[in-house]
Amino acid sequence: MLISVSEKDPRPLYLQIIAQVKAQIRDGLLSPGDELPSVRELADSLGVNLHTVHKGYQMLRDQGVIHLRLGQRAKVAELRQAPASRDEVESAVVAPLKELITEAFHLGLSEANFRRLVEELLEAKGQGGGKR
Amino acid sequence: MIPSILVRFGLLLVVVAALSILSLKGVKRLFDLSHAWWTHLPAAMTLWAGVVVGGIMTASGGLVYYVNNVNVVPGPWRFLGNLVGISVLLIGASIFIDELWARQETRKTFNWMSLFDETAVGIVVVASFASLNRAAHGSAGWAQIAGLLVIGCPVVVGIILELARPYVPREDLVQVEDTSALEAELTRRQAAGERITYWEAQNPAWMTALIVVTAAALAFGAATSYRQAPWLSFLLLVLGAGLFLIYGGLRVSVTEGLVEVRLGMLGIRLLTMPTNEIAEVSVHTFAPLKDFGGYGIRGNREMKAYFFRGNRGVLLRSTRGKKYLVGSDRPERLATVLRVVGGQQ
Repeated sequence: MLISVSEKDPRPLYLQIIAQVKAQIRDGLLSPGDELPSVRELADSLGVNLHTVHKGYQMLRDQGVIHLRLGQRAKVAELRQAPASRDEVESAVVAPLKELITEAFHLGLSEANFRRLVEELLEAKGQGGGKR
Repeated sequence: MIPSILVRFGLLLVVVAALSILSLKGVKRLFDLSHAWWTHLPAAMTLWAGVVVGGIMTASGGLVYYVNNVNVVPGPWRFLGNLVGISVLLIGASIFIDELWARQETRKTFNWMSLFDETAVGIVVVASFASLNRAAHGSAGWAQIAGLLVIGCPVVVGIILELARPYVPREDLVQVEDTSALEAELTRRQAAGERITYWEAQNPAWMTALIVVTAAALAFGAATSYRQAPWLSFLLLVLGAGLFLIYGGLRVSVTEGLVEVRLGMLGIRLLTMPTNEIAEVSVHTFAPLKDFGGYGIRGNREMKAYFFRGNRGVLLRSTRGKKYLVGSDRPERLATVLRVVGGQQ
């Protein structure tokens, strides 16, 4: 597992960790059952607070991305088979997507260019091995 | 006129030979084995001959002797059950060992361990019939010669078959990863001042199972020997507890300043090397059995090695000239990270 954190990134550190773990699962670099470093190990390696890593792991657990069990190392959970509920999709995907569309509009990106950009990113994701 | 027992014996041999071939072929297809299935035929035939002879002996009156020597020789079904059970277990272990060897070969080499099943099954068959024979007739001089033949002939055939075994390259088992994109990404992140860490674990399920089963056996031994030998019991307990030091497997972590290899849940440090002491990093393919005699914390004249599975890893050479081999499931990625953080790209 490869993780890097940046103080310059506007996102909190725990969100950076969450995003990278999820991205590596999507790209097939982490598979269900793979072990993750302990909270202490990761915190020591990254030079961040224990609570930061712990919060990231807890959120990943709440989202069903990893398993966290007492006395055991965190493990990547099985991929979700059934699609999420409409409400979950609305809050986790549709709302941020609407914000992105607005951002793209204010950056002067045309609809066609925005669509092409999304397609390119989806294409790149497919090559990474995480295609469903 | 040919005695009917010999006809039955001959027919049984034909049937069991066919069954041996079918079952060994089935195992090969099921597990996509790299080594030839027929290298196990001598052991399988020794077992089947033992079963046939045992069956005929028990069917033709040999059983009488069990009745009189009930404490010496078990009943016919237990006799055949022990013979088949132990032998199949030994042949299975031999298939596993030979397959490990074959998958690690980079060229054809003679695998002396391939004779394990012929020798072990031969000994089991001879030992089984020696106890039968002793019960029936007392010790006989010819039995020892027959015993040597039962072990020796399959071993000789085994040597011939091992020599004839073809080398099968298994490129499909090695997936070399292209890490150029990763290298560019890491370089970008490093230039942006991000703190990078790479982490990888080798914690195979078989090792966890081995630790738990062995520790349970030691604890059982400690509990049962407590009254007779308290010190031995204490020693067994300590050994059992000591096994849990390696529970949790091997972990490799790379940060910008340090490479570490740690063992077990307690995180015992096996290797600590500052990244500025890394002189050379290369992906290395090795043969665990041949190069290091197995898996775990190993070493040979050239290097120290840490691996719990697979046959690939990253070879580190320190600025002081020492070499360390770190096993990895994704050695290209690990090597790339090490090169970038060590400033060698």
